[in-house]
Amino acid sequence: MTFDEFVAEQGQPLLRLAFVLTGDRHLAEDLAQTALADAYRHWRKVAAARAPDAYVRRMLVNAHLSWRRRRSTTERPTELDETAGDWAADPGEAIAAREQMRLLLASLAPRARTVLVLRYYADLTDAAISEAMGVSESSVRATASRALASLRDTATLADVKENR
Amino acid sequence: MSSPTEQQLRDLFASEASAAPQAVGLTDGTLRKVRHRRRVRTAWAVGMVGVVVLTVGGLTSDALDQQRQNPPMAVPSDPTAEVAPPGGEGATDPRDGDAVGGGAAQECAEDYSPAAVAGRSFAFDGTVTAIGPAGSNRSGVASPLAGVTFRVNEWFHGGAGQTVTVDMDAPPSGSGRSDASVPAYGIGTRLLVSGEPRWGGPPLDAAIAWGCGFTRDYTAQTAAEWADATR
Repeated sequence: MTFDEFVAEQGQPLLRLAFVLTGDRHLAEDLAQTALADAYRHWRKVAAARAPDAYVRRMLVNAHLSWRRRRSTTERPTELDETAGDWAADPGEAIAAREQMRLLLASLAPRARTVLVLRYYADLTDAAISEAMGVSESSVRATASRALASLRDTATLADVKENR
Repeated sequence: MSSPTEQQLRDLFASEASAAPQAVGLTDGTLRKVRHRRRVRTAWAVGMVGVVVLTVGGLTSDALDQQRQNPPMAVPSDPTAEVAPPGGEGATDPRDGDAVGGGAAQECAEDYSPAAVAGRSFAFDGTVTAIGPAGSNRSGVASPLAGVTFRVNEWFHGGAGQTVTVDMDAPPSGSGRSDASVPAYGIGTRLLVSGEPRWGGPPLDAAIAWGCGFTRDYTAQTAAEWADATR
């Protein structure tokens, strides 16, 4: 597989993952390009890997977490920005619930949010998440468990659930 | 079996993903980033070679004896410490030419021009308000850099906000002048600064000011040229 063929096949999924991770169109493009540039540099190794897409996904996740580490948490968006998802088509309660969930997710540590994205968006197993993030499976499970508990325990989320 | 919270997460992420941008031009953008990284690496390699050459030159020159007799100008024992300026009478002024310091000491990876400034990830007109430790060094990487905070008078591109901190070659000590390729500066100096994120990423992530004329003393004329080039 050539690099161009890989990008043609995996570029869009990578970009979507980057967008869900960052919530920002420009950062997502930059993140996807950064991961692909890393892959291009080591293409022979990537192409020879058992699962090149998983290899590059790991590069993307690492780049994302590295960027997040170097940024102030105060930069984390707490409100929808203009490039975020289009909620306008959803009816009232669903909008409120999703917005609430989005704000709660924004309050999580980057690593915890990343675990949730990989598990509930990318549908990766804990083993695959541990490989993508370079941590143990038990760490993935613990992080996911704590993050979910944090989301569930939030009073405002309980209100949203009661109103469903 | 999925809990309501888990289902909410699935729905949310799926909805967000549907709003993701299209991967049009992803290959081109990636290859531009690859070329850009190569330029940055080359510039860094050339810059570090220049610093090493200057340091070795200083050690082997007659100035060495003078430096040994003169503690303030002694060669630093700490490799991470600021590099002593090239000494000795008749030393070439590193600011010869308009590209400050870029002439005699270093070979530049890219020639300066206002148009080339538009190719840098960030460019601004700013006044130095603080000088502190470098922020872009990774562990194991030692370089004579300082983290310089500017009050931004004008962003040409790559940033926003009233202040920004970028890494630059450390300012000269005492009455000396920096041997590196950025202008001599201190608190209150007004500079035109352009550069790159040192390790890639967003423009101001571990931002580092380029030498070779890409960071230079402020003049109204040059500022206007940068504004035109980056418009």
